[in-house]
Order: sequence, then C-alpha cells, then structure tokens
Amino acid sequence: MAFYEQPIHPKPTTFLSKYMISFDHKVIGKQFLWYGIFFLFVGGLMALMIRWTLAFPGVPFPVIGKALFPETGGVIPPDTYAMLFTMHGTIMIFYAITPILIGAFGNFCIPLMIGARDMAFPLLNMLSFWLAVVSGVILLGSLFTPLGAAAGGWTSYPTLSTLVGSPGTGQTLWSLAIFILGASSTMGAINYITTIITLRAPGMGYFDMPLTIWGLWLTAILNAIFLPVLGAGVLLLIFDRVFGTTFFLAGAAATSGSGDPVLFQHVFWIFGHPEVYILILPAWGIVSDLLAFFSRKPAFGAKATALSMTTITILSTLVYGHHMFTTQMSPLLTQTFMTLTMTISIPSAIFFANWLGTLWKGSIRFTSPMLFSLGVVFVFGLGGLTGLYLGTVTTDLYLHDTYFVVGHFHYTMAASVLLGGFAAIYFWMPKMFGMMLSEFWAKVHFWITMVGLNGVFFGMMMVGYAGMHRRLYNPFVYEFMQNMIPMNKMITYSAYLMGAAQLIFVVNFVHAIFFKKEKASDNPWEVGTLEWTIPSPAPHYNFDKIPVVKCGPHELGNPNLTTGRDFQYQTENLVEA
Amino acid sequence: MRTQAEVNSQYMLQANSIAMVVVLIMFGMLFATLFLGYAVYRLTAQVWPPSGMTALPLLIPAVSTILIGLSSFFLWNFETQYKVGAKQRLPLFTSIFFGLAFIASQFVLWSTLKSQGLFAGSNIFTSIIYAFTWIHVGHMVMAVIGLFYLLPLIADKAELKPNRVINVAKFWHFLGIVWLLMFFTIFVI
Repeated sequence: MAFYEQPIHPKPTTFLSKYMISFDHKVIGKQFLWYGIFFLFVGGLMALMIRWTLAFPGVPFPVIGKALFPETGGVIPPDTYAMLFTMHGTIMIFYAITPILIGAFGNFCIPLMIGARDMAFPLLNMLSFWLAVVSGVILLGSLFTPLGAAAGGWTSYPTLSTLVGSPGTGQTLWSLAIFILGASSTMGAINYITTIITLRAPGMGYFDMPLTIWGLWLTAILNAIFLPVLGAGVLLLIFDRVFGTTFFLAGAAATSGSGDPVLFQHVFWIFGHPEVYILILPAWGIVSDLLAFFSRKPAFGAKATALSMTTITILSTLVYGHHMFTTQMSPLLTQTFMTLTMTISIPSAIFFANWLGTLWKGSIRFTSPMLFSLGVVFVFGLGGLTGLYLGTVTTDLYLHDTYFVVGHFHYTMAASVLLGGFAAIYFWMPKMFGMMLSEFWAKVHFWITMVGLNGVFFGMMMVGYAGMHRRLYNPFVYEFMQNMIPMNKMITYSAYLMGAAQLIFVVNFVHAIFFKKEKASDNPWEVGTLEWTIPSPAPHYNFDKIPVVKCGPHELGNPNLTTGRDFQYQTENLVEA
Repeated sequence: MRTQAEVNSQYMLQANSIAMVVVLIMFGMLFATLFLGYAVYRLTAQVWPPSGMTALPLLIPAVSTILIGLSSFFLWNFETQYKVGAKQRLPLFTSIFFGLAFIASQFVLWSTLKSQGLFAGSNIFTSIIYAFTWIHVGHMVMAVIGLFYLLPLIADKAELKPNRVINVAKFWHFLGIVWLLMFFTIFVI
C-alpha cells in the first residue's frame, strides 16, 4: 500500500539555515527551549524580587538592587512591585511554560513520536517561532518605557489595565505582545493538529499514539479554539487604550453609554481556564508515558487515560465562572459553575488512579525523568485537591484573592509543569542533543527543587488560609498579618533554595551540550516509541524510511519476550504466548 | 492501487483542508467573542442605541453588503470553473475589484460617521461599530492578499492548484458571512 512520504529536505549547511531560520522541527523545538529557559530565568529573578519584598519589606534587594533601583537605594518601590508580579505571571505562563512544554517538546516530539519527517507546514512552524521572538522583544521592551511595564496583574483586569488604571505605554505593549504571541501559538496549533491527524506513521491508530502526543494534541485543540477569545479581548483593550473606545470603561470614565469592565473578566477566563489545561495537558501526557517507561510495564488503562484527558479538555471549556464567584454573579450561575467544576474531579480521578495503577507492582527504575514524573504526581495531587476548595462557592468566598489561590495555582501550573518540563528535558536530552545529562546532579537538582518548591507553595497556602491577601506590597502594615512574617521568611528562603537548585541544572545542561565528550547511545532508557528507533541525536530527516507501527507505545515487561530485552519497539509485532 | 503521486496529492488536499477548518474555527471564535460582547452590551443596556445618537447611515453598509456579496459570487464562479480545469480570468479580477470596493466603502462609512459626530469614543455603540469594522477590514486586507496570491494560477502554463483556490475562497466567503451578520445585527436591527 502506498502512503504519503514527506520529502527529505536538504541538510542545512550555513549557520543561518541551521540555527536561525531553520524549517526543521527539531531545531525549532530547540529554539523554543532556549527561548523558554531564558524567560524562565527572567521570570524567576522577578519571583525572587517579589519574595524578597514580602520577607524583608524596606530592605534593599541584595547584589543587584542598587543598580536596578538607584533612586530608592536598592529597595523595590511599590509601583515596581506591582510590575514585578504582573510581569512574573505573564512571563512564566506565556513566555516560559508555554514555549518549553508546547513549543519545544511539541515541536520536537510530535513528528518523531508519530513517525513523520517534519511538521505538516514547516514554514508556518518557523514563522511561529519568530513571531514569538517579536512578542518577547515587545514585552521586554515595555520594561524600559517611561512609566514602566504593565502593572495590572497577569489577568490585566480593567480598570487596572485601562488608561485610568495604567497610564503610559507599558500596558499597551503588554496587550500587543500577548496578541502577537497568541497568533504565534495558534500557528503552532494549526501545525500540531494537522500533523497529528495526517502524518501518523502507517499502522498508528489514535490509541497507538504515545500519551505525550495525546496531551499535545488536546492542548493544540484548546489553543486553536480559545486563544482567539483572548485575542479579541486584548484587541478591544488596545482599542480602549489607543483609539479611545469605551468597551471596558465604566462609571464616570464612560461619559455616555457604558462599557463593562467585568466583561473582560468573562472573556479572559473563557480563555483562561482552558489555558490552565493548555499548560498542564502536555505535562500529563509526558508523565503518563514516563511512568510506564520507568515502571517497566504497560501504562495502566492507557485508553481510559487518553479519554479522561479528552473529557477534561471538554469540561475545561465549561467551568470558567469559578474564577468569578466574587463578581456578584447570580447564585444560580455560581452553583452551576461549581457543579461543572466538581465534575472535572471524575476524569481527573480516573487518570490519577491510572498513574498509580501503572506504578503498582512495577519494576521501578528511579532515573531522573522518573523522579521528576513522581514529583508531578505528588504536586499535582496536592494542587488538584486544593482546587476543590476554590471551586466550591462557600470556601472560595473566603479564600479568593488570598495566597491560598497563589499556592494552589503554583502547585498545579508552576510546580507540575516545571517538574514535567524537567522530566522531559532529562528524558529527551539524548535524542535532542546526543548527550546524557549527569544522573547524579539531576537527582540532586530534583531533591533540592522539591524541598524548595514545597516550602514555597505549601507555605503560600498556609499564609493564604490564615488570611494573607495577594498583591499587597507590604502586608505587614496590617496588625493581624504581622505574625505571618516568620512564615513569609521561610517561604522566601525556600524560594532562594529552589532558585539555587536551578543553577545545578544550568551547569549540568551547559556542560552536557558544550563540554561533554561521551555521546549518548541510541536508546539509553530502553523504551520502544518511534524516536528511540533512530540514532541520537535524531538525524535531520528523522526517518530514512517511514516506520510501520505494529504495536502500542508501552509494550514493556512482556513475559513472552525472548529477545533479551524487556521492551518492544513500536515497529515490532506484539509478542504473544 | 493508487500511485505515489496520487497519494501525495490526496495528502496535500487533506492536510490543507484540515488546516483551513482549524483556521476558520479560530477566526470564528474571534468574531464570536466580539458578537458575544455586543450581545451583552445590547441586552443589558437600558436604552439602545445610547441616548443622543442619531440614526445610523444604512445606505453605505447596504452598498458594502452588495459589494461583498458580488465579490463572493464571482469568486465562487471562478472557483467552480477552476475546479474543472478552466482558468477564467474575468471572475477572479471582478471578485478582486468588488473586494477592494468593499474596503473602500468601509472608509466612506467611517468618514460618514465622523461627519455625523460619531467617533470611536462617543459611546459604547460607536465603539462597537468602529472596532468591529476595523477588525473585519483587517481580515479583508489579509483575504485580498490571498486573492492576489491566486493570480499566478491563472497564467496559461501554470499548474492547476484547486486546493489553494478552495482554501482562499473559504476564507473569503467566511468574511462575507461575518459582514452579513454585522450588517444585520449592528445596522439593521
């Protein structure tokens, strides 16, 4: 039977064609990885500044404080504090997590894991990356505008984000940057969806796809549907700021007719709640695969896991209202949104139980990708369970806008995704760069990160439960919060520990790429998905001959195997008794 | 058994069609969000149109509707003939002409609104009119570039690429439908 074979593109030879304007999905994946790591550093530095302010209000920020804030002697000023938490949230969500999990691993893994030579539209893929660069430059440029960058929070609610709340060009540039990044992400989504539907290797049905691909595919679908909603919202916000329209103005500001600031919240969260899943679905997929690979047994209930992820994807589109319980929403609506939110627990519990089922009686190999995957199981469990209190109207009314919310979403969106991202980097490093990262230092990195991370995010939930509000420059001017100073210091020390742990990763990563001489083998982890059937690093054409898939991605620990291996490649017939 | 060339051609058709469906869903969501916002403003307003507003000009939007309708009709005509191998130049040129005329009519509309003292910041209704038409025209400009992208295909020796024509036409007709919705919901009712 004849099947479509993408042409093998000529090998790039110049620096420009090889590293800058490459059409190769692997190079674009690496470009997104470097981009994401850069912004992770910028956003992380901002987080440390925020934490410093909360632990030591009025004390100059160490080392670089005087250079950054000379007019206050190194103390972070209140308006800058608002910019810092706004830009930290924006950068981490849109410019660090998204490029690493979706941009880097989406681009790198999809063609390799489905047996394709490249994405369906390589030119669109390249444009997607460079549009993201333009957006990043605009966002960083906004830091240097006269009145500073955006300071209305990562959600940019009007009226904080209209000209009334944020004069100057910083907020306008923020909106423009997000719009452009949205265009970039939707370009990627078109590519991912089309590639997965049309370029799967012969024999690969949807349930033969690795769960990583399921996660990335569902993410792309959510991106394609909901990013334009945010696009429409920020476009109208730009019009309000630049052309004087009145969409989100209210009261005296809108002198005739009336705008509606709360409408932006609706638009934002119609996009924003699916965005949570846009970020977490790739990590879920990756972890679902890695748990099976390193338990040396098939993924428990793989089809149910894929279908649960699909169900969660669908339900995620119906629950956004739980972010707005405190906006005087009708009680009928709050209860509807609460019920819908609770129903997400059902598919979540199914696939979480499947993770545990995969681990049960497995011959677990505690490699670095496995440790990070187990970390995801722990932190996502904690983050998911604490979400129940925020999805319930009665408890949310108390907890809303406290640090409990900050702790919760950092557990789900930051910790889970960060650990999932590290699991992916450690796992695919040999296929990406042809080098293994040091396992010893990877494990040191994991344990210190876990200690720091839990100190930060669990601490946040505790102070939040005690009533500490988010976004306050110096919460301790209020007497009832003063007894939370020691806990805040503990959170800050934990944050610095977590930050320091990332230096271990950076040194390990840079050493492996630029200085290590020992090459990785083709299949160092001994797994059977398609990318491990080709040399490390993957050649520019991926597959010389398009592979034919004959079994699933998690054929490990089959007692009937007589090959001396405990796994099968997807290109091999399933060994039966 | 199909040849490799047939398989490749079938693949390209499938991939491009899927991508185009995704693109239309994306743009559909963008405009749906705008219409949703409009519905909220209109349904929650105590007085509509906002007090102090004179009647909106109906003639120019009606002319715009005719222009975009004619453009869509001629593009459909071109597409139908192209799919059976006939490279008819006139329908494509006519479609481009009416498309450009539609964009010009939008400039006339904005100018007329301004002459009536209706500016983007006058009230929420004028904000909606200007913003929606700006966004729509922005997309029309992209779509016109798409029509120009079809021009090389009508050269005598050019290879037949019906897929490209079908996809550009889908986007063009989509924008026509969006305008029609805008015309009725903003200017007529």
